[in-house]
Amino acid sequence: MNCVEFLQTLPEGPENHGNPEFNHHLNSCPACEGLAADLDLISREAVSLAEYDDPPPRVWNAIALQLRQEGLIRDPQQQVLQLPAKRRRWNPFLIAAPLAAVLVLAGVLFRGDLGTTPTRPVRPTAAAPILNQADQQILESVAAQTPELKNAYKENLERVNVYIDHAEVALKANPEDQAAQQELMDAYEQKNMVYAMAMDRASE
Amino acid sequence: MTDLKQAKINEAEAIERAKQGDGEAFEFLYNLHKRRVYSLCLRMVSNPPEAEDLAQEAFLQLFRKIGQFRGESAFSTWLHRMTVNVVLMKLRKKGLNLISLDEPVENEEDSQKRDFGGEDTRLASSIDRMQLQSAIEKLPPGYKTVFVLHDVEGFEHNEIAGMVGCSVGNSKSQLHKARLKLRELLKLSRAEKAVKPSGARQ
Ligand SMILES: [Zn+2]
Repeated sequence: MNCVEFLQTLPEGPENHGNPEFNHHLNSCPACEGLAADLDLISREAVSLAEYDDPPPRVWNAIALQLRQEGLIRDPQQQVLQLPAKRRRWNPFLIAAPLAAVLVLAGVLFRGDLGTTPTRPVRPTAAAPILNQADQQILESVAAQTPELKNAYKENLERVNVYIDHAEVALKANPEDQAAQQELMDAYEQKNMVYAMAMDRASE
Repeated sequence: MTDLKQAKINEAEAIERAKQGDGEAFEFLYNLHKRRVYSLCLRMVSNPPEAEDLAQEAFLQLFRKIGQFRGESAFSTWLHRMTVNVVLMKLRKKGLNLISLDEPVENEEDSQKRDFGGEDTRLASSIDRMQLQSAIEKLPPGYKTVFVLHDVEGFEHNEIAGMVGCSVGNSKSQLHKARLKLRELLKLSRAEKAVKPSGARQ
């Protein structure tokens, strides 16, 4: 076997190891031996990439949210949850009012800080809206279980309230704008997530 | 609520509890497999936001069918295959060739020159993972698909042929070409590194 024949046989991989001619050339030709060793090294190192990257927390958040919406996650405390279907036809009157009432009971698992959700940055403003009664209630139940987390939840709720305010203003300015409609839906969804996380905390 | 975190529970138990709608069991299963699934998606599409969407889709598809799942041993295989299907579907939708069937045939002399390279032909005894990762990103889609499925994920050529829709011979040849291309890219990156030593800033 010469170098050209060796190269033509190389793609066969491990099957070549039973080929005496292949092995003979491999052991007697430094150039082919070097090439085969490099390819083998690349192949062996590639395995280490199989679990190399960690997905950001928002991937689980999104999965959990979806599983709850589809009823696949049914935590005992959260069976009353009736989230609006994410892409259903938009009707702000159907969603806003019942949502406010349902929020107290609703829950969607959310592990992470809203401030770290890069897709939708929400910054508290100087004029952060005050927390409503439901917000205060949920904060109290968090504080009862894990007082050290109360401030983090408070901050998150304030942020998401700002987000909702901004989204409402934008939608009022352009009531037909689908992006603005979606933005408000997303804002409510984020608030749901904070509530859910708080509910999980409170029930632990 | 916290027994899954505190107690050491196995995958089979988590699967049974997930079937009952236990959110923590789903999270446990997700945490067990997230790196593998996300890494696979990321290697294949080389785009983090897209990889996140694909990983999410793969897990959702799996969790929706969890009620049909029987037996622990095949769970990761099941998830793994589902992830590959989700990714391949996406690549097909994007109109990317999973396999390059019509590559120009190079003459033997060219092929030999390219395969052996110049004077300094050998790679070092180990490869930097970051460099390997960025070299994989530069592979043409067809090469990348087979390389990731075979060398990173450990699928056999006959499985790849089935998933991608090509012959076993085709899969072998794409893999070989992918490895050759990676070797070239790694040598290039090593040469660049030698010219620009780390820490040198302009
Ligand atoms: Zn040779």
